Amino acid sequence: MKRVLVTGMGAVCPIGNSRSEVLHSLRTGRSGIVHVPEMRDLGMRCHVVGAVNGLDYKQLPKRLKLNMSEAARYAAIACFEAIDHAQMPSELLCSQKTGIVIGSSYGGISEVSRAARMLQRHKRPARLGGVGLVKSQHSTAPASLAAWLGIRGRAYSMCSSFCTGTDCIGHGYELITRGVADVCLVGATEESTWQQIGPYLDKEGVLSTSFNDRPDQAIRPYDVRRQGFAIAEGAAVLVLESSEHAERRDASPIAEVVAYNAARCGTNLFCASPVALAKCLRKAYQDARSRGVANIDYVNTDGIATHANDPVEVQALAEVLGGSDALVSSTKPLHGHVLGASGAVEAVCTLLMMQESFIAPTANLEEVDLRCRGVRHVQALTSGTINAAMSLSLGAGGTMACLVFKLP
Amino acid sequence: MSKVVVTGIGIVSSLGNCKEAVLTSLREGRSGLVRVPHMRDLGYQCQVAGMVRGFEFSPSWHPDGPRLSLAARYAVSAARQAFDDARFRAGQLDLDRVGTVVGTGVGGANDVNRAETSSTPMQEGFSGLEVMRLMNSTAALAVARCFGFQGRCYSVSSACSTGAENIGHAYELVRDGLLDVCFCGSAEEHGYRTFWAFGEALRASQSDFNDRPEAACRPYDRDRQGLIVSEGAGVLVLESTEHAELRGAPVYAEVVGYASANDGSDIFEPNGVGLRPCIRDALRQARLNTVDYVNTHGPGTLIGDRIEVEALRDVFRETSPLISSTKGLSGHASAAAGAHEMIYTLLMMQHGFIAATANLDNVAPECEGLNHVRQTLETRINTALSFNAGLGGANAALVLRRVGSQAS
Repeated sequence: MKRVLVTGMGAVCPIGNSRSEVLHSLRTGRSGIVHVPEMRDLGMRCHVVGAVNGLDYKQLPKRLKLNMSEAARYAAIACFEAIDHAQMPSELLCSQKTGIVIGSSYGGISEVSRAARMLQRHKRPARLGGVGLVKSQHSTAPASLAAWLGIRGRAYSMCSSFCTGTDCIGHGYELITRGVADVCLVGATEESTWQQIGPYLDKEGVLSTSFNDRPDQAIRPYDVRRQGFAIAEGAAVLVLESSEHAERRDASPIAEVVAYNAARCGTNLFCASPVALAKCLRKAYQDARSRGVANIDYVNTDGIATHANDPVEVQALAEVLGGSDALVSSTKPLHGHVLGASGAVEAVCTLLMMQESFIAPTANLEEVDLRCRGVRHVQALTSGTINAAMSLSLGAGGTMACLVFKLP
Repeated sequence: MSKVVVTGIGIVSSLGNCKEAVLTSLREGRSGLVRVPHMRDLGYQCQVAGMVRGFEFSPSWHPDGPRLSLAARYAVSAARQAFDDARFRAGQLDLDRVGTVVGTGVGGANDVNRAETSSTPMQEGFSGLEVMRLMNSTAALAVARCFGFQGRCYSVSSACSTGAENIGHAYELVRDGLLDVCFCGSAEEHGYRTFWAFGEALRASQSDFNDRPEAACRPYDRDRQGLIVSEGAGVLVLESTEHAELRGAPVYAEVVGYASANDGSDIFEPNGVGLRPCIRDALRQARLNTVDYVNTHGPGTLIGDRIEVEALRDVFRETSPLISSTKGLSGHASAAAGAHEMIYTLLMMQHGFIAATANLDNVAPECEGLNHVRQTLETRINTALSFNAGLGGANAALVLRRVGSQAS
């Protein structure tokens, strides 16, 4: 089995439109959650979202931008940053051994929305513009980027509810271990979706409602006063590369991917079973051990901050980590729930912390809920080497996935 | 590495809502294309589509019953047929070892329409389930929940080749021993209220055949004008041979090759750059130089048909296999097409015939040089190739072999 290295990464999310901005936010605890008055007008109880702010679209070539949904644009900016970070020459990407797997939960949903609205109003389908066909496809991001970058290997999106980002990275990892690809651009993206799905999540009672006037305090994983999450948008992309390929071009690796596992269980919308989750995580831990990881030093959790799910997650983690020294935190209170892109954004956060040897605390975790005890929660910025870290995601519909990274 | 066989199929398509009905349509050349009054009302010039007709969904089929997206309901129906067809018995499956890989192109397009056109979403009787109806993995999550499968569960999306891609992923997961059984395929619900309008805007389906819907889609014909959209779902049961033998399962065929490649050049029009290596790679995995039958993508567009004929002539040289496109009968079910066409091919292999390319009255000069099947042909198929190529430069190919037959 080939070894798989991360050699580049990029992100566009509520806590920053580049690696350095995200790093700064993680260090300083800067939140990207903002108040949105229109949500109140819709009758929602939650009035906060994680929003991408001040993104410079001029960095995208005009011809490319025209054919892109918002989700694809976020992905493209993150992707270009990652390629740049990896110092990957463009001619190496124009290959059948390069793949691109960029998922999302909702693809170009605002384009589908636009079609619905315009058709109902004008009844003139021909006026909608043919570009919408590309923008509305779920594979909008990988398709437009493959065309632009000349990627001739596998190019598609995947979706596994809110585990999508983690699963896309895991799938790219497997494509390289199996020798299908030498290089794989992996990640996930999500455009703003609160208008389409917000009202329904609000009604379900899984969104934060009492902190509308203090958006930065709205998401409180594991805290006694937690109420749920806030919907966010953004994208993150990693460059994965086989160790041979990276060595050949003298690339400096950020980390090695040593394990990936995914499963599904349960019946409820937002509540996995602790037994199934523990089983999923344990398998990844075992795989990581067989690839030279002695201990997991840090776990970036899902931390969805709902009443029901947080205890389930902690229970499973406590069982798998046992009495180990692993530190645990969630970065969701800062960037919000980026839905399909969560796993990718959180992987970038994890890798940044590994690189810079610190752990960002779970923001707003003031008083740990009794039912969320049993793991070592990080409640203040902590410095220390992270040799190996796990990042895990849970999705609506019972999906679960996790990745283990180790320093090279 | 395990050998992988198909042990069950289920289908909802314009050609019928069970395999028996579809078999009759294929044998007798019964078209699934109809004139759709809604399309006239919404201002479409081309008012022909391949619609699923007489589809009944029993609420008892799924815990969320009619609250599923239409695409998910199609997929659940197809999966239930496939489950019965594979003759699984209760308690026979280790649910942890059963995966679900079912894709869509757009997801719950009609739910986006409803979310968009509703002025009072907070008052309507829908719940958090909406987040799954709109999601790309809507069908995969619904099928997994229907049977309680606990292996990997996700969707893959790559526009027109989505179906083949999902089946290919399932093939690899079973082949590599990660799963014993995988329910795989794809689903797409009709999109005349949403994304079908983009096709019209692109003039991909301008048509003079509103009064003769069955003649509207004419792959490789001199008078072809474009594709005709369709909908439905197809689900296959892929199983390792050991697992299938152990339980004495009926076997349709063995999956012996899967390849996926992107053109890496143009997002709207295929150019065959990715299609050639894709087909060659799939054949190489199958250790075949040629096959008995090719079910082509054959959308009936001016450019698409020409590009793929050129690619097929290059790959097969002087020894063209028998080829036909079933889209002349069924229309182009977008994401569902790949799964539908695998099932059409399997039915032809099982029953010893090849369905003709409907409406191929005069082969266009640029589409000559292949062994087009123009009338239903009674013949034994030992090996077959099914491929899709299209929007976003995506290409995917699958190779099937009759179990017990020698390589040709």
